[in-house]
Amino acid sequence: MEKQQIAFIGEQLIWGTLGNLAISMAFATAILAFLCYVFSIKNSFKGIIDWKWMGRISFFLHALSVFAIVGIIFYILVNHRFEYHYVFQHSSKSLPSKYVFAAFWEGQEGSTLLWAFWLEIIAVILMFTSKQWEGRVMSIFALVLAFLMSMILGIVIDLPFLDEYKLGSNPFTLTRVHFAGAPFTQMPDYLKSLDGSGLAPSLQNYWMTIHPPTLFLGFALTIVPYLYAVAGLWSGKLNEWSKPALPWVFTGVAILGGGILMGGAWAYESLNFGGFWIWDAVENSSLVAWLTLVAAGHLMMVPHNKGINLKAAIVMAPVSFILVLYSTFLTKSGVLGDASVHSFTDLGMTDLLLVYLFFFLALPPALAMRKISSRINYFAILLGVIALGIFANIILYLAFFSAFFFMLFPAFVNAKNQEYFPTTKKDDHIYSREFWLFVAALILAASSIHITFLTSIPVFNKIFKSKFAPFDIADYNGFQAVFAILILSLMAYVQHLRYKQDKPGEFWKRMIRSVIVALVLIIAGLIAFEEFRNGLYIMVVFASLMGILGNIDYIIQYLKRKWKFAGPAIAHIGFGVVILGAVISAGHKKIISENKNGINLEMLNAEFKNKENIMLHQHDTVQMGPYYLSFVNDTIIGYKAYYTIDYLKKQKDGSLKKIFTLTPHLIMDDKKGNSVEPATKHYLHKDVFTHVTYVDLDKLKRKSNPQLALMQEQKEVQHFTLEKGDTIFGTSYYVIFEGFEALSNIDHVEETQPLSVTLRGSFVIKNFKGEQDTIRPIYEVRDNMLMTRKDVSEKFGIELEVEKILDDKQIEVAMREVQDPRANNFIIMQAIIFPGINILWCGCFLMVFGTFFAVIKRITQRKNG
Amino acid sequence: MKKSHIIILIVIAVSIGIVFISLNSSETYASFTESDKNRDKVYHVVGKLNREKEILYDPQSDANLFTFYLTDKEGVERKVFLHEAKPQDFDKSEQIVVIGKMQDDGFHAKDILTKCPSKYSDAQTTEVK
Repeated sequence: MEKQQIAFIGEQLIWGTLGNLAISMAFATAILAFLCYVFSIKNSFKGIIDWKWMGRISFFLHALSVFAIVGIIFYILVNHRFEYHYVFQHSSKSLPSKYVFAAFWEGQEGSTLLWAFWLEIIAVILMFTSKQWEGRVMSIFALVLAFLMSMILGIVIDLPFLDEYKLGSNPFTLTRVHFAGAPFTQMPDYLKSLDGSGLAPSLQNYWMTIHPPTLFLGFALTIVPYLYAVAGLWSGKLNEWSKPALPWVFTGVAILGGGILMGGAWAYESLNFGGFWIWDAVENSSLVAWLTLVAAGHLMMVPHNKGINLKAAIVMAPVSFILVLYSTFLTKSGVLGDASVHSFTDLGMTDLLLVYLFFFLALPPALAMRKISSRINYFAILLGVIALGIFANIILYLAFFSAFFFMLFPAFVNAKNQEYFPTTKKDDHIYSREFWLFVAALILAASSIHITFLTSIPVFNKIFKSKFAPFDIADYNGFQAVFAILILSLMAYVQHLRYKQDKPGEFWKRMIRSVIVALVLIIAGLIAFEEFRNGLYIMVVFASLMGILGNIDYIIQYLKRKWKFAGPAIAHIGFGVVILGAVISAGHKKIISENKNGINLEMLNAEFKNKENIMLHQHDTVQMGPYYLSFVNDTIIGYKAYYTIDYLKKQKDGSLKKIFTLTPHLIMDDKKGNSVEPATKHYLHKDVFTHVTYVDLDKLKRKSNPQLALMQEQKEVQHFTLEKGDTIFGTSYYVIFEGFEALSNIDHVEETQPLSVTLRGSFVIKNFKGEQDTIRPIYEVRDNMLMTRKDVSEKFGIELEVEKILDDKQIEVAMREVQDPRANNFIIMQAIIFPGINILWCGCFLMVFGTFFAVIKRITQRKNG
Repeated sequence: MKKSHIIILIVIAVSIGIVFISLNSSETYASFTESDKNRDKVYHVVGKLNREKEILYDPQSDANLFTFYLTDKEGVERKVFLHEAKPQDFDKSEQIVVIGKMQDDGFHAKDILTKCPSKYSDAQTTEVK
């Protein structure tokens, strides 16, 4: 097909060319670095070349290329180069420049690059600190990065068996290429009128600037234990690999944990899930990565690792990274679809992502094999199975599934390979720290398995053609509460145990204080709060109290207040406080916007709670919980609609006093959908949270735009002749004429004087629900001049004027239904009180701080000794 | 058998156990016909909005009731009672998932998921909770 050349005006294609050059460079140099580093291990082709330095140079070139790609994307985003589809898709001219970061990582390609960016930084540090491990660690690292780069290559491979297979999705695709065939792509000056579709409104939030980079740094850090474990298996130095990896693991624990909790804070503040944790697929996949990283870190801590602990550490260390890859697969393949609040697009990379996932999953077991030939055989068979799955295409997922089980096979083979894994005949003592660390790691693993399984339901549906719906919050909470109880209890006492063997009597002596204090607190809580009396609830609270107290006691007794060693204990206390805060906040959450009328659905099922939304008319004051709420006004500023709600409280004398004002708002976006942002009043012990669930945006838009307001149709004036007590029936209301009230003295009217009289009519408007309003039009004669003043009922949208007084009895009125934008203005809203959320945030801080503290302690200790 | 091996076995057994318990209690996707057969169970029904028929939200009388007609994937149409406020972008939605139970007068939903097609951008999912 021959293409007509159109000379497009104003395009800057140089950035795309440079960007693609950088991507190709990054991909090629990553592969080069991989090869050089592999050769450096055995020092192959000695004398010709210093492979290690070659590897370092290629890696530097690779890192520079990646930084260049990131820089170019930022440049085209900042300069609104909408000829690039990525810029078009994720930003617009009106997007405030502070959201350029959020726009950068909104898309799949951007988030891949964010991940790669952190990986480069970690890689450069590892290059100079991994010493004897450099060859093995860096070669695998380069391989991971080569795979990542291939995801943004976007080149089309045309092979006999791969018909036009597109490898990856390129961030420098041109808008006119993406929409090839659309009419505007034929216009040479299309750029002039082109504006991007903007950033999804829910992402226009300061959390979106700091949460993703923190989370992705956490994800990136999970690679370090993977690399060291793989290097350990590869070299056979099974005891040495964990020590250099350990500070990295706990740095990852702190940063990933912090990133996840920031996500929770974002959900709490800006989304309308009514909480900080909803077990969303994306939340879950980062949580399991964190849980397994914690488990790996604790197993790797056991000194003189051998026997079951050694095996467990080596199995656990790579898991976190593999789960990160799995979550990449879930989010980038579009398999999640309806199952998540986050939105995903299938970029046609499903096969590619699965291949990577299985490659890195198979790598550790393959390297655990002693003989090179069995490693190769294993990989060959595995790749064969995967290739068969892809090319047969019919049973793709099933093939992967069987490949997964096949992969477990070498694990059993290796378990018997005692030569490779040093084992000990002696069983672990039950009063020893390593035994219980092992148990704790297993519980964390079981918790992760449960979460991963529930999250993977869409994948299982695809494989088995089953129809399971995504699980809801309650499905997770039940079992995860049990895991939390177990972990918190272990946290309380494992620190009090010594390694190898401890004396039972001494151990219990160390423990008894925390148990007693926790029991006293829980009994006091049971007496004080009635709603507290629930079995599972009490157990979780008791366990978290134990976890907190046990570690406080550990600092007091065992460390004798030597604070520099207190990092781990502080982190444990933090975790206990997080769970305590979560339980108190979620358990006592109170929706105060309860609807008093409407159909009661309790009869259908207790699950059907239909009273959480309430209608608030403008200027009305409605009682909700301890507050009286009043909807004051609504305005549009820029692309946000603001709703001002006053919170009043009844004073002792019965009057209402304004306590605070909340302004929930709505970000209007015609292209990406409107998004509601709640407003929160923070107190030390509770948060009051308000958001609008439904509003009449068109009405508000009309009101804010005078031109639109003029255009609105006005209904015709109707004339009626009435007597006192007569009724006019309208569409959904009726009006009763109740008579006149004289505002001037009419008893002494003298015929000779010009007539001056002022009358005020009284008309009661009612609807069939019993609501009513009174309007009082004025009828005035001054010096024989008739002056009438109409009155409006805002509530009903009715305008009424007394036109004439015909005689003693009859009058003539003019009535009109007005569509006054102010009339009948209302919002549907929800108000929720979250108690004790600050306990949770305190815990978060303690946990992250304690973990960092412990990492710094460990690094400095190593440098000194 | 060592203690650690026994514990591994226990944890594996418990993990498999809870996974099965979770699966058994799981809600499933279904059609209106299927949900009509088993009225005690909560189902997720995927369908399309019928724009010809009445879409009613009268917050004056009940802010927590919104009714519309949905045609499921098998082409069966039912009235849906959503016991929630009307989702803000409902009118634009293309695909709808309703979660609830079938009753005599129609399908009573406690929750809804709407998928809005956007002009150029990717499909977006919003959950109303």
